This record gives sequence, structure tokens and C-alpha cells, in this order.
Amino acid sequence: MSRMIEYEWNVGTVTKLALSAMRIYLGCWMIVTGTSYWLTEFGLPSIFPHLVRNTPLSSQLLVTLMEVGLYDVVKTWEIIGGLMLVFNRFVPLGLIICLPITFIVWYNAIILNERYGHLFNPTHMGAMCFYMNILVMVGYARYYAPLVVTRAKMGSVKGVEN
Amino acid sequence: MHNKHLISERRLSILSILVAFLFLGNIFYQLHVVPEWKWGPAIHKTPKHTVSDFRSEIFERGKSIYALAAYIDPNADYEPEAFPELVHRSQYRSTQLGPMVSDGCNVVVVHRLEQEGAAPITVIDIIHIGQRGGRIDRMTRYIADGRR
Repeated sequence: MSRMIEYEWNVGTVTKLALSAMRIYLGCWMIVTGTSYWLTEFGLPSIFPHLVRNTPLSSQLLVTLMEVGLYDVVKTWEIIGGLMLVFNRFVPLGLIICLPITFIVWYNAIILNERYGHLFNPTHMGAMCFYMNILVMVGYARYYAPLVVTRAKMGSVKGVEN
Repeated sequence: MHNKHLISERRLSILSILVAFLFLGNIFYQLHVVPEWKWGPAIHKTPKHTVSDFRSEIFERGKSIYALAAYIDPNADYEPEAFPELVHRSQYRSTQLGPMVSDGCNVVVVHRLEQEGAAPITVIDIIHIGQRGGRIDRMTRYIADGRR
């Protein structure tokens, strides 16, 4: 028997719905971008082209990532992180996995490609993915709050609340 | 007064998966069906890889016209007469004389061009891959004088 969840229509519920929609959209986007790359690696047509040829600095970044093999790592983690977000499993961890990726995507899209006009363009996922990642993390802040300790102690995971 | 409602966790999960499918469809449509860029043979490839494939089409497969149409931007900046291998049924052979050097979107190829009945020439090609279209948008050829 599935567990029942009680809710009422208020600001908190609407915020949770909005953040859940963002979580799912971000996850889907990560899955699509990761899968698109791996399709080409298996000789299949991609979903969209990887834009290696943008500004020289952006190209340098992407070409170097490809040449040293890190692009494979990034694209694999995009799929793993995306699945975590879409299927609502290990979401706080999934968001941490996605954060460095979305930040690099944002940095590449806005700073390296000098598209400052897209900084707050809601349809430009190159920028929006990073903001969505941060906003959804705020929604799960209670899982990250314990990380912010000035004097951390070593120990086992016993007693850690889920 | 607050109205409390109940929803099962399973129903919520199914709903979120349906929403995910809708989002996936939307993302696929935006990126694949109505993309803001052109599809070109250079996509997914590093500039060096692109030039290597471009050369293979011309010198290994003999598809000069295809290479010209597919790999070179219609508005590309180059002198066609400096690239005699880019004509139909070109009989030119090319031997690369050193490693292909790549810097960002620029690729440099040093090679010897040969054709029956003509003296071989050593040339240095500087090829630039353009933005977003995934095609060559600038090519410059220098003829080496053969000095070491």
C-alpha cells in the first residue's frame, strides 16, 4: 500500500511544486545532453550538436576536455545525476554531482562565449541550468546545513539522521 | 480555513514521471527539431578531427565536391584557385609531412601535393573552423619554397 501524503494549497506547497518541476526539468536536460554525446560515441545520430566551435576560449575548454577524456566523465555524470533528479532518488547527492557541471556550462555559455545578454534569459538553459541547480539545492538546504560546521569531528555514520 | 487533501506517494511518482516525459519531449523538440544552429559535418569533432576527415574525403575517397559542399561554409574566406584539389575528379595526392597542429579553432597542415605530370609542391594550410555552423570558414595556403 502506497503511503498517503497530506497537503494543502498554500505558498509552501506551490514552492515545493515549482522546485520539483525545476528538479525534473534539470534532470531531463542533463539526461538529454549526456545521452546526446554518448549516442555519437556509439556511432548514432545525436540529439543536438556539441558546439565545440564558439569563441576561441570556449573552444579551448571543450576541445581540451574532449582530448584529455574528461568530457566522457562529465557526460556520464550528467546522465547519472539527471536520473537521480528525475526519479527522485538521492536528490541532494544528485544536485551536488550536477553543480560543478552546471557551473561550467554557465561559465562557458556566459563568460567564455560572452553572451551576457543571456544571463537571465529564461529560455537559455546554458545559464538557467546553474540557477535551477542552486534553487533546487536551496529547497533541500536541510541536507546541506550539517556540512557547514566550523569544527568538524571525524566519526562513523552512526546517529546520522536521514 | 484550510482544505487538506490527500495524495498517494505512488500517484505522485507516476505524475512526476509523466511530467518528465513532457519535459523530455520539449527539450528534444527545442534542441533537435528547431535548433538555433546549423548541422554540419564538423559537429561533435575537435577542429583537428574535422580537418582530418575533410582531407580523407578529398584524398582517400576522392569526394572533393562533397568535401567542398559539406565542410566549407558557403561564405568561407579562401581563394579557390589556391586549392586545386577541390574540383571534380581531382587527381591530387597528398602526403602529410608532419603532425597536424591545432590551436583552438585553427588547424595547420603541412603536406606535399602531387599530381601526375606536375612537380610536387609543399604547402602549408591554415584552416579555421567557424562558429556554430561546424564548417570551415577560412583557409589560407602558403607554398613552401622547400628550404630546410
